[in-house]
Amino acid sequence: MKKSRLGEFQELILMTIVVLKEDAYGLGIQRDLEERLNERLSVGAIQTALKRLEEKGFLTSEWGEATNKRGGKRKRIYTATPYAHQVLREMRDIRTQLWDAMPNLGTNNA
Amino acid sequence: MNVNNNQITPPNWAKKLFRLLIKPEYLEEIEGHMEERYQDNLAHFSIRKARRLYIRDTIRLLRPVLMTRTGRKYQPNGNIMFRNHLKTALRSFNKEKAFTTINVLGLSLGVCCNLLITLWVLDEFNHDTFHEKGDSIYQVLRNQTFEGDGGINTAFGTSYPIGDALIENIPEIITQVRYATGGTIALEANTQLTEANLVAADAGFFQLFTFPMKEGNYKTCLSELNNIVISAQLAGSRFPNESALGKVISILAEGQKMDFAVAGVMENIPQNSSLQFDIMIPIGNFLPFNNPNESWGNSWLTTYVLLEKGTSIDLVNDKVKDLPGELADVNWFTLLLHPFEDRYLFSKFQNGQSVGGRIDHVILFSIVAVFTLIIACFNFINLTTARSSKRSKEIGIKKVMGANKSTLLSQFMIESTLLTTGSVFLGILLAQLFLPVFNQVASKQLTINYQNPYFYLVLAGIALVTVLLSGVYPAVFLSSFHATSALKGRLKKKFSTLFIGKALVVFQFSLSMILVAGAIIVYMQLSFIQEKNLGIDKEHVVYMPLDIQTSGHRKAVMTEIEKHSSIRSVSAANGNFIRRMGSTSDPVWEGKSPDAAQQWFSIMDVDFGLLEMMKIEVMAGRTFSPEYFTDTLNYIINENAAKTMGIDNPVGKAMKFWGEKGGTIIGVAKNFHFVSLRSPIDPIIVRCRPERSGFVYAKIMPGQTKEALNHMIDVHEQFSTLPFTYHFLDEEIENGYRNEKRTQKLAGTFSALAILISCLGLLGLASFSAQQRMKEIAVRRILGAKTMGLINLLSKQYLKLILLGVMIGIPIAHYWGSQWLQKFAYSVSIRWWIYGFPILMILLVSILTISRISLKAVNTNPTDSLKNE
Repeated sequence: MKKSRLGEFQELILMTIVVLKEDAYGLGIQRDLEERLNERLSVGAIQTALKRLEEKGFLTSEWGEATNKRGGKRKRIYTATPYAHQVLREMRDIRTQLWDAMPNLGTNNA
Repeated sequence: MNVNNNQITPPNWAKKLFRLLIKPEYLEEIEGHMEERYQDNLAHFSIRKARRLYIRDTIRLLRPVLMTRTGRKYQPNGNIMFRNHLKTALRSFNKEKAFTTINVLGLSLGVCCNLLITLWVLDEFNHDTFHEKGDSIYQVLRNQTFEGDGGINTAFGTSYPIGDALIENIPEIITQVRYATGGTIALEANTQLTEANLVAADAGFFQLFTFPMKEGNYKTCLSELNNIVISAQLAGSRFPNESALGKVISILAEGQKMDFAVAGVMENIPQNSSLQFDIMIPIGNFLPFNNPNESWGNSWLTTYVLLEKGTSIDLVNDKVKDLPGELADVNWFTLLLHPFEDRYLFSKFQNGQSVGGRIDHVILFSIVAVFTLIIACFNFINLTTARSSKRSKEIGIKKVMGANKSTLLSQFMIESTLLTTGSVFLGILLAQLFLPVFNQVASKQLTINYQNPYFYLVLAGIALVTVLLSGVYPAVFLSSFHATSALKGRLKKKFSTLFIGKALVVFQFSLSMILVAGAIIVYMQLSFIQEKNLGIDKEHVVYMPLDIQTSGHRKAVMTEIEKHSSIRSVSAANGNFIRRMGSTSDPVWEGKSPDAAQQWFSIMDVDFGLLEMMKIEVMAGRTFSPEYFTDTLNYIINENAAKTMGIDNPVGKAMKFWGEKGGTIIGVAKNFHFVSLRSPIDPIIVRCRPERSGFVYAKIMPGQTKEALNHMIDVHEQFSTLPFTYHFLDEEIENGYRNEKRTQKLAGTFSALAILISCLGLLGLASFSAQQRMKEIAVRRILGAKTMGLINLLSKQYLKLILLGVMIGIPIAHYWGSQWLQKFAYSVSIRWWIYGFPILMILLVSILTISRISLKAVNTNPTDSLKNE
């Protein structure tokens, strides 16, 4: 199982990317995740994760357009690969099964 | 781009930091990310906080995943690039032939000078180093105290008893060898007459000093009184193809002929030995001529001693010092041991201490050598970087096309290395070419020994310094051009380069000023010396020493010589007017106070008529005259002698010394220069002793020198079969100034060199600045400026620099000049134009240099300079 190779943080980023669709670029991901987690993240952490994910084959990326806001630098837009989708589904599957096996913890779920 | 206040943008240094360290392929995205984040933060927080966050993020950015991996960049194939760089280098040399030639020439000149001086310095240090026991050999010196003077005079002459006394009383002194020079004498070998340089020494000479023996036993070759050791050269020329051992050689000197048997043939003495001689006899042979030999004050030889290995010289010197007082009740000098190996370079003494000597010159020249090379290298750097703007397009394009800094660096390193190594080789060639001339001026026999590994070591050192110094900086400078600015034609105006260039110009010109002024002073002083009225008439005077055959017929020889019409007058004296004759403190005179301090007089013996021939004026009393046959007992003293004696009317007073009968002072002569103008005039006592006057002086009619000499040869041959020797008095006097003449020549050469090199430096600087200002010049031209005006504008700044350099040079030159002149008892005074003339000359030369550059710059078509805007 490849579960050990995808850390929690990386998983979160991957999911954010899927959610954001064509807005999935460095800062966008950072903003979104910060809001959901309610904590500040560093650029370095985000970028590192992105690069690692790309290396492992979970992401592809391509250049977007340059805006003045970024001082003329282009954005890089990330997309999750089919492989990434598959892995995400697998992980959710395992989690679901585990939750199911857990006795009376917290609220109901299905 | 950045019109904003610096505060609103993120900190620049942080940006630079991650630009440096983040992988280039991530750089655009990450930088943009950081920028946008910053804008975000600005919207929510204060400027300061936003910047702080930026910095924090920057630091958090530095993770291994994102960082650049050093050195793993794409490297082009090394070999191919090298060949390309070579081609490019050669092409660029070809394109600017004039510039390259000047540059290389300048640097090679510097290398050449450095090499020559290094050879000279090494040779100086190499004197007397070949003796095996050299570091234990010491020379015995005497420190004399003069009561009147209060100072200590260190003398190199010792007396006969000193050597033995040292061995007997000081256990650390193992052996002693006495050594005396006999001068050039005539000798007869194999029925032929020739001259040789004679010395005499104790039998242990060859055991102390390492002069290898070709034939014969070095221990016993001086054991018999009639032994003689001759040089291999003499043996080879007198006894070719056979062994010289056992052969008879006769020495003709001191009016006698003495036979010796060859007991040893020694290898020719190397040129770097301060002891030089052709033949050597045991010192016992000189004893009869130097009585009294037991006297400790009769110093006619040098004494060398051998110390036990490892002995402390200070310890021994303490013991040795007061020996004369202890053993012989002689209190006016003490003994001092001086290392033999220091003899050549450290012979100057002041107050009994060794204070240097020739070593001072050696150090001076070493400094000059180092400076010359450094200046040459700096000039090279200046000139190279000055032309850099012409390369800027090339550099810009290369960078844009993706060449990284190290590639460019290696390209320019190859270029400069080629140039500098070429210069080094050329420098060696020049040095070899100039070597004969240099040897003549320095009176040495230096050679570049291509076999000697040391030579290559020295050469490598020089080459390394040159290449590193001159090659590295231009390479670094050129490769650091900013691509776009370079293409646009805007050069990186490194302020420091300009400053160094300016400082160098000032320095070089002050140096030139010093050298030229110095050369002028030396020249003037020399001329002064030669022309100053010595108080004697030295023109057209020939003197010939009487040899053992002619001395028996002195009167006849003199009469015969006088007969010829080309001879004005003939007389005789006991020596050459230049060399110091023996001095003595023996004289007593009427009126001398009994407890007067010791006073020293030099003694001269003359024949009748000599004082008149030399035009020495006898101010009071009369000169020697054959009418008064008692004159052979009388004396004439010079003014300084009269002063020293302290009596008002010396004429008529009685005087005697040296155990003679004594006579009267019959006249006082005007002071005349006895030795060189370096020293003050000694007190002199002149005796009238025709029979002791072994040198015949003849005054020749001007313009009839040849006839006179021929006549003298004829007369000589009537009485003698020995070779005829003669000297011109004025030549001999001039020879005494050989050292100064050499300094004069050297100073002249170096001044010319200094100016040349300075102008090279100026050229570099002027070219550099002219290029920088091309656009300015162009615009001014268009606006109507006249050529003269522009040249003025450009040249002004340099003239300021040159004047500054000259101003600095003048006080230094004045100080050194006066110091040097003080060495002479009689010297010229420094006039203002001694400095004025060099200033004029320097200005002239530099104006020529600058105007050439300025003219070229000014005459360029303005459109050429501006069309790239």
